[in-house]
Amino acid sequence: MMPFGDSGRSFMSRLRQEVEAWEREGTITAEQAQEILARYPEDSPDYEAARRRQALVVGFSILGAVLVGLGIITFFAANWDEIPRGVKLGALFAGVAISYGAGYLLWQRLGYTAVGIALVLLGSIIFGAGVHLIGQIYHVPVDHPDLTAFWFLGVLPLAYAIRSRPVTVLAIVLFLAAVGFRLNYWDQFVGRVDETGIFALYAGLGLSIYAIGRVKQQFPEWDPMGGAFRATGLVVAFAAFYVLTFESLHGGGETVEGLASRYWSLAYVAAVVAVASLAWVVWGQRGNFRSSLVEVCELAAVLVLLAAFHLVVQIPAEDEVIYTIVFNVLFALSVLGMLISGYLQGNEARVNLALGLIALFIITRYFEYSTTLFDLSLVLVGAGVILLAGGFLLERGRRRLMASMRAGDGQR
Amino acid sequence: MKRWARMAFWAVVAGQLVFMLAFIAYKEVDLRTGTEVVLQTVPVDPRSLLQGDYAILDYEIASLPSYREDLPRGETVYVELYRLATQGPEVWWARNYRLDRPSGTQVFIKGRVDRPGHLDFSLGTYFVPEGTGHIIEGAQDVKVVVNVDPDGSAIIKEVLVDGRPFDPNSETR
Repeated sequence: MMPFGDSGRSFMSRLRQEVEAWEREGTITAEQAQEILARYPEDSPDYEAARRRQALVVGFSILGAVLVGLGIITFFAANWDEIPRGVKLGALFAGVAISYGAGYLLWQRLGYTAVGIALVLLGSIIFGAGVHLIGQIYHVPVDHPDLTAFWFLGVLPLAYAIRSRPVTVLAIVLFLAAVGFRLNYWDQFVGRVDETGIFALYAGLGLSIYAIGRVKQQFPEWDPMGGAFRATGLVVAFAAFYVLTFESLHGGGETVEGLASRYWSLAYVAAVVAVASLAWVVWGQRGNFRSSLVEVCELAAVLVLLAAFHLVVQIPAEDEVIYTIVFNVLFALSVLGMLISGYLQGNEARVNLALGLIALFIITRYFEYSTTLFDLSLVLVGAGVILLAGGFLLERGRRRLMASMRAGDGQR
Repeated sequence: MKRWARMAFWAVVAGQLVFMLAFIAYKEVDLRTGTEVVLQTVPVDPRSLLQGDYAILDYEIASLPSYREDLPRGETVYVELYRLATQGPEVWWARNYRLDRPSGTQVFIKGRVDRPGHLDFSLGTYFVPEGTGHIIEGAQDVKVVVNVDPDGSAIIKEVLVDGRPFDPNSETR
């Protein structure tokens, strides 16, 4: 199956699959297979052009599907009295069936992968609109925790069936939203969890989603989904972690009150998934020292972070200073670790994310603590110089690395 | 796409459609069975991003009497109802707030304590066409017709605005 949303890499992986199949069938010889693949080295203009074109098509298609989906949701949300209930429901059932059917046809039969999968994504969004429309018709309370959970449970198996990145991202976002609605429901009927508890939980969930993505990375056929897990997990984990670095979030009061057993059940499941997944990845890399060093550091970092998220909820401090310092130091070290691991693994996206987080972190801390324009000028100039110097060093290192890799290839 | 993946894709699509049908059937059974009761309300008018405009409905029977005011959040309470004939629809009022489930033919509605001294019956939302929430908001008297099943679970059937079924095309009288 062709992975979706990986722009130029999709083209290459599909080409490789096709070439392997032709070779197996005897349509071409092994030499011809090598010649075909050699036409598209990953740094060639052909490859770059294909990658850019595909990225543009993917971007337009996904944006189109999301806009149409939002339009359909808001159309039914308007709850027009002139449209009978049966017609509304019929339109949604037809919308789901047509969107999936047309998506399948374009994707599998006509070869329009990007547009086809975008229509499948649209089908998933219309399914969610349908669940909420039924809730609207029968006046199910707006904050009912089950509606988003139903939507998530409908989309997750689809993501696994077709291993599509956009559908996987939608499923993960729905899962996180379903957890949010459930926390809100618990808050209403069971007990209170304050902002620190919520952000610590989401940071842990983000790490577990990332860790699942790392496991999927070990299986090439599941890696298209794995990329979505890793990217979404990292963004969620660091977004929640970033909030935990604010001083105003710490100190005083009980973090989790009354719903401890339910909260901790969820948090511990997330922690066990994260640790077990990364431990499995480390075990799989045990023969490769350089790779396993990165994996071991990653596992250690996740263990430390999970322990910190646990402590801040389990033992809330009266004084806000301790946890503020702890989370700021951990955040800085984690981002630095992300930068180094991204660099060592040649993962440009991760390096860019780390650099962005460093800039955000420095600017945020300035606005939180400094009071004069003079301080601002010093901090901004200092931060800018650090980023420029870091960028220069990274660029130089990357060039050397690429050059040495090419030289190695040439010798072989 | 491999054969199993193709089958899984279509199985999930069919599952989604069947789920929506089952959801509708489940709610329709709730609507068509049980006892119809009319409850007195106090509404306000916010909006849901996913589902549009709606009125938040609060019920007079949702206020716990003094002997039950100290119940903890999340506690299930069974409210025994009795009918009081007045002008217009016959409104049902609370007779007794029990912690155990009533037996026999007594009509009762099940609620959970959501804040001190107050019950939630999962009847707090009534969706209206866009821009018509003010009709309910500006009404003198709002009652809700609900269907209560033998377990005490309830579903909204319709809203009566100043004694008449809610009409989004009407203006506040």
